[in-house]
Amino acid sequence: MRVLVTLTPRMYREAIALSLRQSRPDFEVRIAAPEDAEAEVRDFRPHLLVRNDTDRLEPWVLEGVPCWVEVLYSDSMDAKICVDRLVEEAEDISMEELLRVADEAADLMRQP
Amino acid sequence: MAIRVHLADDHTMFREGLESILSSRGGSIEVVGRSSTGGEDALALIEENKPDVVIAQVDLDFDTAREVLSRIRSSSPNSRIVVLTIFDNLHYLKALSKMGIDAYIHKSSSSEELLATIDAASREPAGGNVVVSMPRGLLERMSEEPVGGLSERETEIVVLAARGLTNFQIAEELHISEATVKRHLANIYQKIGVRSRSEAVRMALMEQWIGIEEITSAETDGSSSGSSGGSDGSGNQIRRS
Repeated sequence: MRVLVTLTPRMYREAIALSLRQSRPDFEVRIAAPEDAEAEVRDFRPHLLVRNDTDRLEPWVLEGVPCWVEVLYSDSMDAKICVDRLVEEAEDISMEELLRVADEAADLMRQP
Repeated sequence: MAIRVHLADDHTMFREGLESILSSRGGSIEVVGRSSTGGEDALALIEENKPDVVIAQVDLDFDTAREVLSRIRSSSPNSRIVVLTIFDNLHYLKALSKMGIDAYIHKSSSSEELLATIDAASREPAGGNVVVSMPRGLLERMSEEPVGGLSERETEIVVLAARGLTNFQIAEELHISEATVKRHLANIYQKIGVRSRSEAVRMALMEQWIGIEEITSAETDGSSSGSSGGSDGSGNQIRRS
């Protein structure tokens, strides 16, 4: 299970990645600055991408990512969650919620 | 003995993520309280636990930040206050320093730098130094900013506002549109953390970005724009059209 975290600022990016690694040690978690996100998505092919909506990522980049969590920095800091093309919104998302999405992404990955 | 920390951040996922960083230190840091930044729950917990260090996420306008930090300080006077912020504005840093914070760490710093900052702040005798952690690039850009972080044009507009000119009159004076004046004022408010022109003028005077002579010169020379140039009392040249 591959997770890519491209959140800004850096401290939050590292914090979320570390928390994911601690809670799910069998997941492969990488971080990348937003400017490197596109290349990293192409090379790492994450099953889950954790990003913010002000990263200027081109929409087509997301098309190859089955699950993503987008923190809405431009509006209220709520989050949009996409699992297998189903999008929901979450208010003040928690790590528990993020782990639930990560687990769903892992389940999805195991399906034939 | 572990450093006892209260972690105050308004966003649950980020607060929990930061706690992961702190707990990765093998017991040298103990998180004794978690809360949003400025709520009553935060103050009650801080007062009850009297942590060694309060990490407060402060992405607030200047007045709100002052109130929040003052209340945290009152709740636990001996706690070291570490401000975690996205602001990279020299004025903001100076203003927070005057409020007696113990450390200022920019959110683009690394998790290792957060840990080092907590260590340093917790060892620092109260009121001595302020620990500042921020990427070199940001620091260098800050030092190149004009005094107070205001551009020459913004300083000019504050002077004219201090003279009592309306936005329309300022626009006429500077040969720009009223909308441009409003945009400059909005930038000024955001930069220096105020919400009105009177607050902006008061702060500019208090911080000596503008001098009283700049305001009164219009009355003595009989025009609102003064002569061809002058100083703002802190070395900034104010250009007049």
